[in-house]
Amino acid sequence: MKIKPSTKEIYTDTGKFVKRLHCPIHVKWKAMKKNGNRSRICFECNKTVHDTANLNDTDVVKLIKNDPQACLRVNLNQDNIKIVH
Amino acid sequence: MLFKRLLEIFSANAQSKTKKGQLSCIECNFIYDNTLDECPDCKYMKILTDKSFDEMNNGLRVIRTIRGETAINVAKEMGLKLIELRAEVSDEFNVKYKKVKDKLTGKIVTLGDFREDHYFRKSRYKTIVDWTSRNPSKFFSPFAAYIVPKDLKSGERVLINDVITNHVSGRWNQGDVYRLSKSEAIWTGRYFDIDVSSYAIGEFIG
Repeated sequence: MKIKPSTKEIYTDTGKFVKRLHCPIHVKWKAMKKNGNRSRICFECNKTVHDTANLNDTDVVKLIKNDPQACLRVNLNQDNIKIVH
Repeated sequence: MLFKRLLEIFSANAQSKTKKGQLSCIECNFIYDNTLDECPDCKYMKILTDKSFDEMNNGLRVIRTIRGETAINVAKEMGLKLIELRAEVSDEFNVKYKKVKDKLTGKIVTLGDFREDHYFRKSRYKTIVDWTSRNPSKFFSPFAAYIVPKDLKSGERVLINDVITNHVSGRWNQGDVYRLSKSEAIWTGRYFDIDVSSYAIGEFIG
């Protein structure tokens, strides 16, 4: 998985666009309610936010294909993310 | 009267014409679209217009930043309320990169992550620029100012598209340090209190 910090766009390792991350509420991950190991619940909008740290490209593409509005969390220091400019 | 004065100022500093519909910035020579109000490279403002001051974004008022003596002096002549700040980019910020060239297609690719070396093997990609760092921010002038709408109320949250002061928006464990260029802020009545977390890039959610 790749992310372009300037635009917050996520791509697969092969360069396929997945999603542009945008949250107008700016809720912090730590402030969300735990929902197992892979996701949390946003208390502002009650949506599930999926942690991409344990997901591969196929999982993320499938997730967004099923629900284009699905919320994702990406941390720059997680092992499976590469930064592109 | 004011428009006439603006024309006088800007005709004296007119950007040199290039191709139709394009201008060469008088400050940094960047070629850009004539329809833009400011140079997208160095932010030199071509002209100040009323539409610059009532822009909204996601319900937040957008605060306009102007850079350079010319724009600041014009804004003062227009009677605008300004917060003038020193504009120097800290040496702390750096972004690393490497450029490789595909031996088959000739296409040049910019890498930003050490782990990408694995994908761009030497058998196919020739290194043009090996891993190096650069400070991606630059200002053509040490003078910059925020234009403060006169009806802005103390405590109002705003969006600043071009932050003047230096704030770290994120650090990466490979050594990169990113400068906060865009941020939400709260007008205290005297200055903009920058909310670094609003556009910090250590973590993305959305």
